[in-house]
Amino acid sequence: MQAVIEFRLANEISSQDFDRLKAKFLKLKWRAEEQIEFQLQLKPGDTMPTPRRRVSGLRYTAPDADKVIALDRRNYSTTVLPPYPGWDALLEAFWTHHASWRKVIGKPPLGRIGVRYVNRFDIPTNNGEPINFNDYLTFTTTEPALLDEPVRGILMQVHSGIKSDDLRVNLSMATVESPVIDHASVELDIDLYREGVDVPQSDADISAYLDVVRQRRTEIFEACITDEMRKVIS
Amino acid sequence: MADLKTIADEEHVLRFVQYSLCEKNDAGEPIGFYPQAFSLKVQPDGSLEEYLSAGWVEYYEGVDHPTRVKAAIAGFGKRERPKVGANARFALGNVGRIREACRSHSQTVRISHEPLPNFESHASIRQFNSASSELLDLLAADAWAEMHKPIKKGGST
Amino acid sequence: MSVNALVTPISSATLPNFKSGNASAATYAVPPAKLSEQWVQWRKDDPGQVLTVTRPIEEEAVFDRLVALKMATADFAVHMNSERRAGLFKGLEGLLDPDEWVFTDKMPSVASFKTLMRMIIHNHVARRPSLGATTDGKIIASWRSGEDRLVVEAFASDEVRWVLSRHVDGQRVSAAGTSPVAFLRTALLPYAPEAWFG
Repeated sequence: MQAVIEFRLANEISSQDFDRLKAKFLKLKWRAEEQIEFQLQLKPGDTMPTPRRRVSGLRYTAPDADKVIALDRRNYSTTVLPPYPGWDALLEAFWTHHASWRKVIGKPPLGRIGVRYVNRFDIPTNNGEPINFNDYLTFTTTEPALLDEPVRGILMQVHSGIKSDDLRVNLSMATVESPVIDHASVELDIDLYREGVDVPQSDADISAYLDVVRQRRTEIFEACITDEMRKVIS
Repeated sequence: MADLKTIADEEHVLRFVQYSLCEKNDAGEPIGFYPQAFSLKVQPDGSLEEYLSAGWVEYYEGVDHPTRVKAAIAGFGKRERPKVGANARFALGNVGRIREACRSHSQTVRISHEPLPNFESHASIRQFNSASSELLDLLAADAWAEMHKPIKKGGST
Repeated sequence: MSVNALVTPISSATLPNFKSGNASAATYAVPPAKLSEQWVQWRKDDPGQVLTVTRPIEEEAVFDRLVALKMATADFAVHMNSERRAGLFKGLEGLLDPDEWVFTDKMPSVASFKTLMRMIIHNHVARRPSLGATTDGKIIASWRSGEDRLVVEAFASDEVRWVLSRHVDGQRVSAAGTSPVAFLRTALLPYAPEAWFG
């Protein structure tokens, strides 16, 4: 499982602050990557387009490849890669470097706080025999009986929320290529976020909000899988 | 090609093997050579090496065999390439056994002293075909398997 | 990290041709002689954006590759325990130690490493291998049982080349072959692979 906590600012930071962030995070001596935005401008009368580019984002991967920090002019996120180290480790990974981010940009208002879990399940097949995902997931599709060929791929997404928590939820399920032989793989992607005026701003409110997110994520996850899947992942 | 001096069966050749081509124990210490250490390399232009390179041990003066081996190892250290890391090793092989191993796989190789600029003791193993994994494994595990460490600064191995 | 000299605007003559779905893009004011997928990933989810690794010096290149190989294990995390993962990481760190790596060699590819991972998982290999690398970028793994040894070279395409030697009644027996990963244990059955794989 891969998990991400992301903060998004209400407004973009300045280019100077972005450069300062780059300099600050370079000191981590993690594997550094830049996201480049290309533009080709062609104005009336031009015979050749004018290419322009700028560094639009930065990504830092820890030496043990267990954490990734991504940031751009609005977003800051920490991803923990599989094997999932647990909620506390995810929080610790996030807050540890979040302080460096705040040192540069200060405390401008947040526009969105999201937590996203991408779970991949590798289900053993019997010599490549098709499996029925309905046996493993409650959140799946029901095709018309007329479609009698084995399903070659599924992609399903629901945009909903939990009113009482003022939480938006994007729930996705998709078959993916399995990294291991003789398995069929499916991803369950649970993305919970709050955006707009109700986004918590203080550290205490953010922590309380993240606790709610954690609980709801667990409830959604448990509701999406069957006992057969629990046997696979145990 | 100028006439090359054939190296006698009773003499020895030494081949540099970088750490990545050494078999290791759980502690990461080299304990052997991989077959691929004796494979002809593909050159940058896509062509295959014409011969396998080594150093001729008996090129060096010495009161005994270990002294000559040490001198041959030191000879590698003087060259810029390859970089000799502390965990790299040198494979020492008896020329006769190497010929015999190749013959057992239907190859009659020429092992000759073929000096190169900055590598006076260079020996070439020509007419060698590295397509057979089993031959490479035989060289790595048997005919060319004696392991020697690089010379540390200060002269010890 | 060495930083790109970012120059805007770029001369259009220096831009390479984009290929749909598999594009590469110059990230330097003067493009390097050779661009490869190792350096640039086209962001399919965000056209107009590419993810690049800035061109590092040699020691940074091995560091980047080491991180990329470790990252590749994330795909297989549920299929290995922490001890196995730690052992693999230790092997990779030794292999890609900048003090040992010969920089004229091609570094082991992620695709070759993934083949090895699939091989280990599918064939239920319990014992930790010794790791090496060919000069042309393939991972080597080996297992030893006394004098008997199995060496496997992993191609990028879910195939492995193997060579083994066993000592039977004082005689050395050897064999070699190429197998799809899925059939390796079957191919090795005559040679009792449990001695190496556990």
